[in-house]
Amino acid sequence: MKCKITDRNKIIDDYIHGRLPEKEMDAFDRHCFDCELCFSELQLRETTSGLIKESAHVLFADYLEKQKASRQSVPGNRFQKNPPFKWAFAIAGMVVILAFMIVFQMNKSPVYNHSVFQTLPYLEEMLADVSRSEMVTVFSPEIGQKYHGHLLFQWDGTGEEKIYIKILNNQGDEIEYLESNKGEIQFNKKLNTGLYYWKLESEDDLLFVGKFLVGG
Amino acid sequence: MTIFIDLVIYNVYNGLMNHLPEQKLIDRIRSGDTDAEVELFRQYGARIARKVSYSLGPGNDDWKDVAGEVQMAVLISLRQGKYDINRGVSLGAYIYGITTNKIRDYFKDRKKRPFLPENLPEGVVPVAEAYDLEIKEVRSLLNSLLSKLKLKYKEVLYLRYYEELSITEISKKLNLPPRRVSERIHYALKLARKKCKSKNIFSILAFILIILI
Repeated sequence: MKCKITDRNKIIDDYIHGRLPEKEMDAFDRHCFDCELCFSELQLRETTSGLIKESAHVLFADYLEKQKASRQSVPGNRFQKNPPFKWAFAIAGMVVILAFMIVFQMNKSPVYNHSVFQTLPYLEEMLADVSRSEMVTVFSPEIGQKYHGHLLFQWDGTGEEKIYIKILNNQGDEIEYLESNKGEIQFNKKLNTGLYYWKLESEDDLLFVGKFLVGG
Repeated sequence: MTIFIDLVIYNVYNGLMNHLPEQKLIDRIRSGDTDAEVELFRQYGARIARKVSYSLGPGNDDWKDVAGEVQMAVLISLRQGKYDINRGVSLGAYIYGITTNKIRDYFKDRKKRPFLPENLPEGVVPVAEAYDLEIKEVRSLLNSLLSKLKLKYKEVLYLRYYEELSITEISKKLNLPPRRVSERIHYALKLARKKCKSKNIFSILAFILIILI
């Protein structure tokens, strides 16, 4: 039988950190005896949490080292001791930004602007991944599909759960927001030329990341 | 009217189908099928072991004996036909009830009742042993995975599970949107899940234990 819990990750994290009331903890404990999905996620997060608490100094040695180093060198100190340096740094920064803007305008082609098709690394990494234990299948659109004025977002595995679709530009800014509980939704709005990402989300989970192109 | 009858038949059929695997398993156990008993603890062993070990607390080795008691109690109860699926209680909930009762009994009298694995039928692995091995293997896999993660994933896992910050607190600290923080945690755990699944831990260990015992 399909699990009806929609905010599983939050409940599990609250359970692990002892933030749930006792009755809810008992109820979730009991639920895990029937639900493979919740039990396996609980085991994974509990084991991860325990391991991190015991061995953080080893597992995260590089991260902790970096934190230590960044705390030791604080550029602000230099500014407090030497105000003229602050002004010189600010003016230099403005010159660099101005130069960049001039160069950017010169390179901008009326026919093809490479920057609007530039990929966004953190979303590229997540393309086509499914966070919720591979229960969701996305049928449309395909990754990298061309948008010609209408797009059908279609998926399976979420039943009648309310699902959100967020369309982002290639800077990661959300530009459109859709909702559906029917496993599909049409999108027909006009979009500027460029690369767009889209996210399929439930209340608490990121289910899928895709992308499509307009023009190019 | 025809549609109503179709819906009734559909719901009754689905209800039966949902209980069918459990009913089959119970029937096989009642008929003395030890493979069914192995299958039962393959499904519920880790749940029993986890519940008992966490309830008794870290460093309390009595949990293995209590887990063994639960295992025997579940077996005896099912063999004697004391569980009736038609009473509306799932098998998982029934086993949960036996587990919590044994835990309560332990805290009542605190008498150590050593569990003898030879009392288990042939092929059935003590749940505590199997669980211990499984957790060791999972920890080893996680250890290897976590140490190789990119810094941006380590950062959020460290803040979430070591410093126990909430998603909102992490997002303020790192100056990232909360959704981005959640995504990074989910992605790191998704990698961990895939790694554990690909090794199919419990099945392999249970198989090895069955051969060795």
